[in-house]
Amino acid sequence: MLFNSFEFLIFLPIVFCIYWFLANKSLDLQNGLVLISSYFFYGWWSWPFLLLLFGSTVLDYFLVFLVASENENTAKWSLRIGVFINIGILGIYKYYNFFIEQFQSAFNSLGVHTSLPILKLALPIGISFYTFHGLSYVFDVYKKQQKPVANFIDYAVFVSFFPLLVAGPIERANHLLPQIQKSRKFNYNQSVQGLRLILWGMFKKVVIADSLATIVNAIYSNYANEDAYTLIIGAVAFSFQIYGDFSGYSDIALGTAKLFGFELLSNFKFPYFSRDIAEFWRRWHISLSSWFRDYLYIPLGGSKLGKLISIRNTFIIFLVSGFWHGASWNFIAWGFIHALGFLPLLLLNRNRKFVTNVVAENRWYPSIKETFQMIATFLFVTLAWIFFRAENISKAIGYIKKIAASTIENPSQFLNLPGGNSDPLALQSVIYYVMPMVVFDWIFRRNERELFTTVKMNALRWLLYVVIGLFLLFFFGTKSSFIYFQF
Amino acid sequence: MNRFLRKFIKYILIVLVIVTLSFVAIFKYHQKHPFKYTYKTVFLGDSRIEYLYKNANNLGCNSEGLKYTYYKILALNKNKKLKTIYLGLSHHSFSGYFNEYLTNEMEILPRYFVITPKPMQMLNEYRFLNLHFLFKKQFKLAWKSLTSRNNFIEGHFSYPFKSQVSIKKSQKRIKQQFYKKNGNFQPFSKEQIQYLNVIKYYCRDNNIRLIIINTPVYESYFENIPQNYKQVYVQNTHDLEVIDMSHFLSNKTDFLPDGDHISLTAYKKCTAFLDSVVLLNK
Repeated sequence: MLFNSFEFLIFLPIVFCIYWFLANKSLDLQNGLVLISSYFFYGWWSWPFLLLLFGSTVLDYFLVFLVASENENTAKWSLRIGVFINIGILGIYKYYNFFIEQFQSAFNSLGVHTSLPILKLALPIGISFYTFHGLSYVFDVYKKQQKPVANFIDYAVFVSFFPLLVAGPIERANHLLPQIQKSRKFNYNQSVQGLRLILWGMFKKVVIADSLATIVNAIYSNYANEDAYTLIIGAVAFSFQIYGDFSGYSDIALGTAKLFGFELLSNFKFPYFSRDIAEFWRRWHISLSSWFRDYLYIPLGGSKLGKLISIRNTFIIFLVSGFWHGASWNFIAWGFIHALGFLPLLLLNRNRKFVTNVVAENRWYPSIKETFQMIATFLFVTLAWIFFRAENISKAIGYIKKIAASTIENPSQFLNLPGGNSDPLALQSVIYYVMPMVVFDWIFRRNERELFTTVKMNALRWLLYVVIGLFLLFFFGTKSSFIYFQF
Repeated sequence: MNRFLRKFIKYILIVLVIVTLSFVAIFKYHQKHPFKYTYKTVFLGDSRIEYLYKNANNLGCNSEGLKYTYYKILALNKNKKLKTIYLGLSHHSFSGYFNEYLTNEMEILPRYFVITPKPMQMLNEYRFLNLHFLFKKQFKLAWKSLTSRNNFIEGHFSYPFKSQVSIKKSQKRIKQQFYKKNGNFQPFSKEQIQYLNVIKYYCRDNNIRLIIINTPVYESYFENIPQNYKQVYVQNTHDLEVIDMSHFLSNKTDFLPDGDHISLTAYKKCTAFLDSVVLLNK
């Protein structure tokens, strides 16, 4: 079930009403309802894959009792088995064919012809997310940071809570499980905040990202015939499309969870206002980057074992992060580019320069230096997004080459105004769709949890809600999936 | 909880009231300001016409079936000013694949809601969800009516993309338009043929010159059009003036990948040619 579908518009109010009016008598009833709703939500897309989700949940639930064992050997071996099975499931569905193809082409280049079987399996939606949920739980129990959960339903809700089931945020057991185990009372402010987030998330997805998708798809599918001007518009448009799409999804997830009395981890904090690539990664897909930091970077030694190890670890997490997104070289290249961007900051010890504050924290406008830093970071991220969006690495390189070649061939094209040879409406449309998102983000950047309350006048706030609602009504209807569902 | 629900319902009601009032206002506006078109010459047809000719008289609209073109002509000629209609008609216009655009397409029907007779009867054709598309479309059209002179009539010149033909995609297009999934020919669209005749008779009775434009297609696309479709085209247009532009363009870059829509580089050539045709026919 997609958030931006009619089914969800019917599903959500029904579950909300049953949850607060009928199931509010006991915690077990509330959690039971959340679990059934979550399975229904997932099963709506595929009932057979619901079994896989259930199987993975059952396995981790029982395994952690061994992982928590006082006997170190038992704990260690149980952890290994847990990691092996979780990664194994992910590997079979997501990476098996990729590795087979690489082996085959490697053998073929050596003159050895092999024909290894290729699996024709659909990728279960959200598998990368719920596997990481399960893994974080197993790791936390092993590190004694989390006690095994006795109640199966509590654990099953943690893994499959429907707002975060298919595209995150990737929750941590020590953050979400206590909320599941605690009695929840209806909180007016929390619910209102939830609705605001849903409204704004829907706007970002349905109005901005889906509209930009039309332009982006047209340009990327025909990049060989486009000029540099149009290709740059396409690349910039994708930067905002993926941001609108994924942060829109996250906002809807956070907002929906709030309606049920849960607070999820924040996933985005205005990443395009970052002043360097390190800050970008503290603001983009935060739940994933912090997952890799805690369960990969730090166990590998982090930055405490000298510069060389630190550089090695940085490259490992960026490459793994790229590979997590998809079994394809272009995602690995995307991760590699980000690692390269991170490297100078690491070498100069400037990677923790912008840790806490947001740009122009106590001012309305950024300084010239900050503006330059933000634009430079955005352009770097946009360049990397080309690898993320292109179907394969050769098309990504082709796209960049075409920008360079076309610029050298005809530099005056950048003065080409509407009516020229470039698509006359592309730039105009991109500006129309991007501007509201940039302006709103800038206004709300100091605290994303206080979305809309920055607007103090009640009437003005309501006007905003109504205008956004009307926009949604216009744009709602085309059921386009969220980009991160494929991961 | 009650406070929350009250506020939520209030919000939904405000949005719905605005939508409903606007919808009513559109129809009131439409009743008070009936079409006053003064077009003497118009270009009508589907996306092939929409991309072909950069001119304010181009009212071509993507996926437009002849049934809706006919209702458009009725609306445009309410003041009896129409003298010449250039109607885009390609071989695929006779294919049964077009039928789905006439009836089932949620995006198509709402466009023509106010120009079709007895709109409320037509409303019966809408399923619940389609009503949403109807609302959306009427708002967009109302907005257009306030900002341009194309009051309620959908259609205008659109810039095509810069592209080039792909033989593979062109073949796929041929299969989609002229063949069923099992490989048999698509049957001819009785409705399209019927409405072509209705348009013919209407134009004859109202002294409107009807000129057919066979829009440009890439050579390999043309070669792959089944012979029976070429025959049915001739049978249905032999009594009409036809401007055959099917071979007007030959470069790969003149077409979009499907081979039956022109590209950004070609529209200027077609516009210049059609300008001269219009001038000649004045």
